[in-house]
Amino acid sequence: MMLTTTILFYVFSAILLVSALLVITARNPVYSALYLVLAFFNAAALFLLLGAEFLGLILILVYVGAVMVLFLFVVMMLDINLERLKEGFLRYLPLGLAIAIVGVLEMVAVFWTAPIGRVPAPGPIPANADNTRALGELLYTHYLYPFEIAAVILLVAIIAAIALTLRRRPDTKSQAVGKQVAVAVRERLRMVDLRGPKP
Amino acid sequence: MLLAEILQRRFAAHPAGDARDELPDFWLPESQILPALAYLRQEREPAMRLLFDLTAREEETASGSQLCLIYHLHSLQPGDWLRLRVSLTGEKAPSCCAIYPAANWYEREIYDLFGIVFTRHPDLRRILLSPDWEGHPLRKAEPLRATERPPLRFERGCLQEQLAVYNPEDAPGEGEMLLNVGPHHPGTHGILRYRLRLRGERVVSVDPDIGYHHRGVEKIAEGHSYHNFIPYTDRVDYLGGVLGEWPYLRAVETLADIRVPERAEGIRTLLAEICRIESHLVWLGSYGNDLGTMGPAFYAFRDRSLLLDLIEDFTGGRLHPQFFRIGGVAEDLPEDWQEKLRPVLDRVEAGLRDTQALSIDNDIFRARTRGIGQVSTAMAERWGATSIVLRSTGSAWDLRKTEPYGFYPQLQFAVPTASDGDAWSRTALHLEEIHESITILRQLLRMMPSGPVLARDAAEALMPKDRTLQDIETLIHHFEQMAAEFGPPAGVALGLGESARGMLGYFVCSDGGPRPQRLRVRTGSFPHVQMITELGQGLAIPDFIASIGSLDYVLADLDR
Amino acid sequence: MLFFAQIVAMFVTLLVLLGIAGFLVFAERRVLGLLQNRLGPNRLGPLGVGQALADALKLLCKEDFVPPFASGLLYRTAPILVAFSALAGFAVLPLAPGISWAGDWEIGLLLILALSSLHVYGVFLGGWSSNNKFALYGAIRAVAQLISYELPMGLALLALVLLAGSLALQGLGAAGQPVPLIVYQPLGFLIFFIAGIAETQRLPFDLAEAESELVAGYHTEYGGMRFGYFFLGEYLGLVLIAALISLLYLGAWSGPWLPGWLWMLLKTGFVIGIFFWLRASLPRPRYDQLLHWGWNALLPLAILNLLLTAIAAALWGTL
Repeated sequence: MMLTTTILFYVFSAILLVSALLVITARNPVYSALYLVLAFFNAAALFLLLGAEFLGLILILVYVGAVMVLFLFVVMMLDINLERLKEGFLRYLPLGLAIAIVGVLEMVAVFWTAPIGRVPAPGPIPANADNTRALGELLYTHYLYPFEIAAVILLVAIIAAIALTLRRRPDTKSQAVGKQVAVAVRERLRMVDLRGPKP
Repeated sequence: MLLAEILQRRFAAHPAGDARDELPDFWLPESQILPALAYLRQEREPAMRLLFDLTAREEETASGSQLCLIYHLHSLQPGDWLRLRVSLTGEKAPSCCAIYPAANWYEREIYDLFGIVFTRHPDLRRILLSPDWEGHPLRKAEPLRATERPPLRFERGCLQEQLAVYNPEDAPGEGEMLLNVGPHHPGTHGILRYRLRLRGERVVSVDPDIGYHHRGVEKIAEGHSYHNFIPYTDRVDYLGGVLGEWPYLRAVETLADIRVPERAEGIRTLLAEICRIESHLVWLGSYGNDLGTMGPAFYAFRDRSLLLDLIEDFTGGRLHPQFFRIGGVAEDLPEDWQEKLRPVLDRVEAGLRDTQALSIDNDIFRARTRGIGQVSTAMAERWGATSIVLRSTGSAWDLRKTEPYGFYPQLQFAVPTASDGDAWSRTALHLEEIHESITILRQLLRMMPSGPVLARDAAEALMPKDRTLQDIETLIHHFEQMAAEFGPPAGVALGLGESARGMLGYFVCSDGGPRPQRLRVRTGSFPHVQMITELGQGLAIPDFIASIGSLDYVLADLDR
Repeated sequence: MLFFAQIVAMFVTLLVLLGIAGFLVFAERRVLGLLQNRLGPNRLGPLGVGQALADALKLLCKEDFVPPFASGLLYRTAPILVAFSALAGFAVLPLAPGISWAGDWEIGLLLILALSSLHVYGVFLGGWSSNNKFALYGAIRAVAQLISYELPMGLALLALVLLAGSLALQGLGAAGQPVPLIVYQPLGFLIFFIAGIAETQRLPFDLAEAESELVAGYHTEYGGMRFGYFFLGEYLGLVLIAALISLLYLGAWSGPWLPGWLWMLLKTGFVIGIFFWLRASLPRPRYDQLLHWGWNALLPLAILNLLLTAIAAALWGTL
């Protein structure tokens, strides 16, 4: 059983790494986004292997089901000109490299200060553990304020996004559905008793 | 000052002598076309708002063939029509698109079929035939039958080249997308292609590509005797049944000066109204399909099949009764026609409640059609729209009332009109017109006159078959008719009818021979589809489908 | 040995589900016929049941065609994704207490929601990879519609979870005993029902296919069994949503006389019947009307519902 878990871990991790690599190397942005989706799936699988079912499914639900769909939605509709995107590559290379180096250094620092071996092994999981409940209790007690603040920030972001994109377009024909529906036949039709030319 | 005087003084017109109908008819010199049309459209009171039809004719004269253009104008006042004819010296004529936008397609059609080039035309392309067609089929020099032409072949490999001709301006503009709706698309009601330029899902411009259904009815007519052509008229608008036969026969009967007996007029009116209901029901059903609801189609077709059974019972045909004859109708109604008609009317009327509940009374249906595809009266007149499209804009105009024919003068019925000109109004009008038609039929149940059903005194009227077996005179006459020995006297006549698709006009030119020298079919669908070039702009695809569907065009009626 | 038996049983379950989907296609046509005063398919077998088999055979025997302009791999994957996402949901769906493949998984509801988000990908990829303008429009509409209606759906479910205090499907089903949860959550039921139709993309919410506008929408370029997978996915999704509605709101397996699983099936069949009925009688709204409605009516209502439920739960406690 342990062996199966280990094999699965390596399989998922390998796919995760490869697809993560493909995200940045794929030529077509739609494929990039799809590789990212694959990466999320494998990450979710890793969570499941760890027994963190809630986290795994939430990852799929939120990132795969909502965030990436929106990404794809936008990418699909953009007429992306890869040539033009590549034009600025050399110009932005130094900045990109600098950020990458900082990132690598940070990671090294993390591993340096807390090498893998020194992290205490997790205790045995109690038989009737419910990690949804556990997470909920932790979030709504110990981390209540950070949680609420994060929620408020998201709310502000939503309102800002709506405010930014809300505009009236004068050139499109649009109807008011309520008015459309609320109409009686008799209001619109008129029975005319037409008279022909006098004989 | 009378119109005739003005035309004669200002525009050097002279009256035409060969008009056998009551339309004022004038020959104009070529240089006076545009000034005269501009005067009639803009200055004259009441203005000639409708370019009803524009067509051409090639006549054999002593000096060779002679092309002329024929304009039919109407002011939407009862009986106020005008026919203008222009003899062309060459194969060029000025375009009147600037005065009558509706002329655009008519001129393209004339260019296509006659080869007359219109100067200053905004978009002179072939319209009915394919762009690579050679020749102009309505010219007299062209063979009458397809079999006399060399076979149409596509060389292997050049198909792409051929297809490229269909898309001369395919490259869409910046941020635009080109979408072919059709020729095979469920929303176009047949084989018809709309080339849409889209920005997002909004239509920027529409270019309808028609002609897929073109059968050359007008050319076919030149090869048939007057009587033999009747079945073709059913098939021009294949949903209209006898509604298509009537205007043709009115034209021929005017030419031949035949008085149709009372009972024949009654039977014609009866069958025409049954066909109108039937045609409206088909549209109601298929329009539901355009909006994604399956229900109305089945409810409408249920009632329609009752009516078709009735037509079959009365005439022997279903979709194409071919029942009218020159001078009357083929047979009398069966003796028990009243007992048969009455229950069907009741059932159709009851069935309408279902159709209405599923269409105009449904909230989603209203949300989809109210304010969609709006046509103003001015727009309808600009493009030559008639019948329901025109009535939906609030203009009360119905040929059955304004220039009553058949048995209509004796009948009581109202003309439903709507105020908004949108798709919903047109749906509601279809329903209301069915109610009115039922009223008409109920009156006919009581008022159907008695008497003969065929004018026996006229030479052109068909001899009754039973009598040909009895006396030799009739047999000889019948034989001569069947052998296409004679036709109505020379002249021209316009026959009009209020069909389900719009106003239908048959303009028949006779040279005294057994076959029409020229026969022109003016259908309602043609201007309605042309109007889509303006109507479609700015609509989203679902609204576009809802709008074109609401115009109630039939492809065979459009392309003839 | 037990493992092997389980595999066989799972396989049988799959076959049964596919059979149900095939039968539903036939049943729908018959019911529509009934509602539209016509017959529907009635030639093959008693009452025409054989039609389901004939349809399946026809699809299976058709040429396996991939248009040359399509993106091959994604084009092939998309229908499978759709069918899979619908099928996998049944793993956690209980018919009665104890009758469920995944046992009583504590977050079964989340799995179904996650799978329904996978369904979006099938539709989206099918439309995009076909490289056809109508298919692309269909895909865009499908994505916009699905993400818009997932929100009210999730919020309606959240109110339910709050009430029942469980994310497990069996737990939620048990919460509906003896009083079905529709009594506590009438608004939530309506929201879930409407969003459920939108999720299954059936008329009146079939904007992604909208045959009168978009020919066949996202599966315009599909034929044969690849189209069959989309079809299967649609009908299995329909069964899943109907089963969820009866499990969550209609009291699941509770009912007199008959065994619990039969009640569950009957209720599911009833809900499916309502779906058929709606299809027979309603036109399709325009897509912007649909989205407008989802965001401006359904979502606020769902939030209101959640708020009211939370207040009620705080005042009077949960079930």
